[in-house]
Amino acid sequence: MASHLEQLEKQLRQAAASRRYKDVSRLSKELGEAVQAVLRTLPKGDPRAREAGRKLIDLLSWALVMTQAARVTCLADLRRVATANRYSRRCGEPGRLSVQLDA
Amino acid sequence: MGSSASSITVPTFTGESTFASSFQQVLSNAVNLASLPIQEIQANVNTQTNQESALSSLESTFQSLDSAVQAVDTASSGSLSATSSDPTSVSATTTADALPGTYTIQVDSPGSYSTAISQGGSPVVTDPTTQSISSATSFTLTVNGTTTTITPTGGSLEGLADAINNSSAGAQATIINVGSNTSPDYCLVVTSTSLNDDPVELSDSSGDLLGTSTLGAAATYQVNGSSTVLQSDSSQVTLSPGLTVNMLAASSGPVTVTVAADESTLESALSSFATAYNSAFSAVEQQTGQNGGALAGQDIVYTMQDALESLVQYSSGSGLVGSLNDLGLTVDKTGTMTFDASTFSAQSAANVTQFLGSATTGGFLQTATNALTAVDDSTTGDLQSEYTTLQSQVTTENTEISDKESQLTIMETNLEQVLSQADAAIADLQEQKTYYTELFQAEYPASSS
Repeated sequence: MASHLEQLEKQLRQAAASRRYKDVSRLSKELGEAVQAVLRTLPKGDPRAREAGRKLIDLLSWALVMTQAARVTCLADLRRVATANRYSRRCGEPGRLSVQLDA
Repeated sequence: MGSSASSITVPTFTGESTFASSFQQVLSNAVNLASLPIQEIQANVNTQTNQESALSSLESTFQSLDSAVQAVDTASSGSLSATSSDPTSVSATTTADALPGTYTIQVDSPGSYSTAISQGGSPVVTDPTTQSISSATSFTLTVNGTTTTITPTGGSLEGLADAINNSSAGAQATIINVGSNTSPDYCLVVTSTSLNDDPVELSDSSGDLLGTSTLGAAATYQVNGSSTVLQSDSSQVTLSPGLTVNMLAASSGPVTVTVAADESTLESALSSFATAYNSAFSAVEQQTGQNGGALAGQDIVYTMQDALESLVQYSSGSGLVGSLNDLGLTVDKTGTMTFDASTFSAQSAANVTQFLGSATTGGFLQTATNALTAVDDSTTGDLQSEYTTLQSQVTTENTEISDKESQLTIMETNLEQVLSQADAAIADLQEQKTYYTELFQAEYPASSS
């Protein structure tokens, strides 16, 4: 069970790092449900439950920061590309508007 | 042409997270920035389209000027007329074969025609429509040493005269009344149509019907100062191909016959040339200076100015008519050309013709034609070349606009997708984090997020 949680955590971190936002949404939900399922198997007051909850919230916080940071970085790139394209035209070269924006 | 940059619409983004509104603003900015090159190109296309229009207008005025020059050429060389310095002695006519130039002719004698009248003793004719000087049906007419048989229809004097006139004998017959109104006596007069001293004779089987001829004489004249006296049996002589002079009377000296362009036609053509020049000059001027048109600063404008200047500044280098000023075409300080018909009329036709030349042989007309053709020729002219270049640029830039618009569309689509997914992910994560934080705080009060 622990290995399943570790697997989901790993996948969520990879999805967030690589800006696969649909996967981030899906994996965050799967991980939350998986943690809840694990907690239901533990006796009340088991310190592992508190640890699991803390890890889940830390992971969600980390994914949220990563996604927000990625969004800001992406939009900053967009601004730079649009501006660069504007000036590249003035140099008499064809503008470069094709930008890979997908995560 | 592709659609203008202003038609690009910013995609509307409806997000779920608290960052949705900022996404929309950033997306708008990004699209607007990205569309700037398109707006630049579109501005170029608009400029070039305006230049095309200006070129078309200039071409029209230069073609009009070209046509005006051709009209001067036609008037100068195509429509010739002859003028005589002494119209009472010599008149002259030209045909299309005539060559421009000056000729002299001195008429020593205009000559005269041999003539004879029916002799006395002929039957008295009181009614020439029914009576005649002879009842014969066949006559022999001798004129210019040639004998011709005359066979009139009917027996009247008029019939005899008509038969003579209709023959090819070279004589003219008339009927005159030598009697009175109350007692008419009509006689036949036969006159040779050639200037010579041959007698005129008309006879029937009974003998001569005409009295003694008054003998004529050949016309005598001298040409272009030659001492050789020429003779002609006609008052009209061909002095040069296409130039016929009519010797009307003896002249007191050499008569000058000038063959040159018809002055009135040429005068009108030169006036039209001035008008066409002013239109072309004005059209070029509108493309120069700070407030110049779409072609301001372009080389083609200076090329056209040079072409116009080459017309105005043309000088033959010799002759009494050496410049347009001498023709009455003057240009003032503002560049406007005016035509003074009196100055033009004061010049001799020969000098004008020499100055103008023709489109193919030289002179002003060749210089003008070459200069204008270099500019407005529909295939090789500078205007056509510039027009073709502009069209090519417009086509290229329109293609570039179209490509960029396609790229921008793709970018917009990608942006919308990525930002939408990012916003959804952030919303989910926020929701998850809030949910589990509250859950664990309730379940484990000591735990913290």
